[in-house]
Amino acid sequence: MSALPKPEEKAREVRQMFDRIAPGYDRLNRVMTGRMDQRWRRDLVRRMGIGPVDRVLDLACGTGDFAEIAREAGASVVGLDFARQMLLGALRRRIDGVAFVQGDALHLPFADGSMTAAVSGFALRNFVAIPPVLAELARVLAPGGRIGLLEVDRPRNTLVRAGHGVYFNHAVPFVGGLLSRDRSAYRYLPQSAIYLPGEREFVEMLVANGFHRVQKRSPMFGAIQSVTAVRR
Amino acid sequence: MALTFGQHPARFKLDVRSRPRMYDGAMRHDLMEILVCPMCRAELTLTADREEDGEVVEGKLVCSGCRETYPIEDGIPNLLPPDMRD
Repeated sequence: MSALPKPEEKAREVRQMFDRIAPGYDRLNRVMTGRMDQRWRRDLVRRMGIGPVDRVLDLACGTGDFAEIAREAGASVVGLDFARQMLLGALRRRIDGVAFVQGDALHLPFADGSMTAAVSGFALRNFVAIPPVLAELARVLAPGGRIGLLEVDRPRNTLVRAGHGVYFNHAVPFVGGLLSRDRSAYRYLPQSAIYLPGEREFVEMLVANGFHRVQKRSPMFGAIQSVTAVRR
Repeated sequence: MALTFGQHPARFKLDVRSRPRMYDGAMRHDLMEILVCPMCRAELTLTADREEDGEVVEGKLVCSGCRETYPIEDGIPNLLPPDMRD
């Protein structure tokens, strides 16, 4: 049975779901990925060359995982999320020098060209539509600004893909449902990967919305995609 | 006089409770340099009702263009489009 909401209800349902699962969300992410998720974030921040001169947007920041890493690299950071409970969780981490704002990815409350870099982790599939989010990111980035996007992906190798399918479609919902006591959320999270565009389509989306120099890395045997691009 | 656990445990606890909670991530004034109205992208005017250590804990942001008001609660400005607020 599908755990995916109807398109017109997606924004509200997904927001309510993230508000529900906010307590314990960090711990679960660490368990599900064997703490690898933070390593992928660090690697992406390093590849983007984020440093003290940068003002970084952490889009769909959740409890601030990316924001914290970008801050450690010396940047000033703004985290934005639509789920209030996630932001309250982020504040409890007391990351010095990071501001958190509640807002919508399709209506970013930031001035044109106000950021030099933007990152987002495992959020693309939760947006109602991806191209208008990329357009908003291009708007708030100064020319030459970089984006770094982390997401799940479909491994290419058939064997890896089979194993990944079992883990992602069965183990994740089971363990997630058990630990969070929210089965429907952890059925949604794997199924929502269907919202993600294919590789070529994604590159075309980035280019059409003002980005170039697209680069992709595929850690975890291709189960994860780590994409960087530069605002023209 | 500095209070330590050993000397004045009860007083120390009282001290912690009476102090308002301060979050490092609370909204700073310098955030105003980059914030705009999510609907019409005009500048926002900040009214701080309660501040702690130079950071706004409660207040509101009013759009200079469309006049929409956005609340700040617990140090988090809520700049969701008005129809997405609960």
